Amino acid sequence: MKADKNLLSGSTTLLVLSLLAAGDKYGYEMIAELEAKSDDTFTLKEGTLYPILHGLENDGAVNSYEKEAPSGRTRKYYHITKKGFRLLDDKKAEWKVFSEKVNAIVAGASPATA
Amino acid sequence: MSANPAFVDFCTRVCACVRFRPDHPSIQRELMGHLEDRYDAILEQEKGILLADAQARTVAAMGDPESLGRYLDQMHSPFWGWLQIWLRRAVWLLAAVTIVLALLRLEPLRACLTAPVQHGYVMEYRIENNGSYEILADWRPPSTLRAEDYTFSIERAILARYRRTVGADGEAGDVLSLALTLKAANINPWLRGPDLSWLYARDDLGNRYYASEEIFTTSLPNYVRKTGSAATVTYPFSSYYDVSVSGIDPAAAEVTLIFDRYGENTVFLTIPLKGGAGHG
Repeated sequence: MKADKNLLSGSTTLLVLSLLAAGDKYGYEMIAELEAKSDDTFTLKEGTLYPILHGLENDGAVNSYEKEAPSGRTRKYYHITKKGFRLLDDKKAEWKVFSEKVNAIVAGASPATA
Repeated sequence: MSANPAFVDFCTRVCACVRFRPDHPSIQRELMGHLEDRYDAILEQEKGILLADAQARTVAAMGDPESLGRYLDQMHSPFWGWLQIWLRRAVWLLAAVTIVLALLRLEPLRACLTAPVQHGYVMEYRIENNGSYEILADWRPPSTLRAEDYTFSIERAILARYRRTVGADGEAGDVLSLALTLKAANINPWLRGPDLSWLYARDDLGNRYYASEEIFTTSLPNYVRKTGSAATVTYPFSSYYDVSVSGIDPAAAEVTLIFDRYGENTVFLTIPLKGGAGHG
């Protein structure tokens, strides 16, 4: 099942930082991993990843460097910084509260069981 | 391998929306890399797909190039971008200017540190030796003294013997004359040429040699003469004084320069006269 784009848009920073927390990655690698880990549930327009990455880099949450990828081509890798880890913690906490509230409302809307 | 024209077109359309042009090559490289990786993945996953189809799907997966370009433009502010570039240039320029200035100042600094010894009038007169003196010794005494951040040393000493025809005591006879080039060094380039007006001398036999500021006066039987009260020449780290002690008793073994300031005698430098009385 494809996820609603709007549902995904609020959590892309969380997803990107979570992927980078496991190790340095380049853009396409992140997209591919996101698709693989979510069984293609998360498919965003691939270009939208880059404004997020560049914004995080401007904020100092990630930094980048160029390195040869396993394919032999030079790719721009992103590395999460200490500030990025702090932001990830904040985003996780934010997501926890948000998902709990959504779950509570969704549970309340469920038809009562006999 | 030449770049895929469809991918180049996509990247060009993205960059057209990014005002900060210095970042275009980096953005283009990154997007091009992504497109190539996606294209390869499609070709691998779907064997037999038409290349044109794979290319179209690759570009479509990226989304609208103008929309992406506008987002990237927000992240690549021309103001901050140019500010960073000019700041970096300013730092490089400053570093270059600093290096050039340092190199320019290095030569005078080296010249100061290795300033040649400057002899004054009396020492030059002794060196020239017009025959009226008999040079007994020409050496560099090892005596040094540290006082008030200055290091005093004798760069050259010439001991000469001459015949005094009529002294203050009315006696004629051989006496010694010691010409010195005195060096005062200080690591502070602004502290140069200390005032040595209060200098007099004494030998080991108890004779005193009084200070005289007059260059050519020889009426005193025994005296310390300096070419003026100031140094002969000063450099930022060293000053040279022309000092001579005349009318020294031939039996003396050493002469001590004494700094008499505020009525307090301070031993300055003791110069052993080579051979002393044995010179004769």
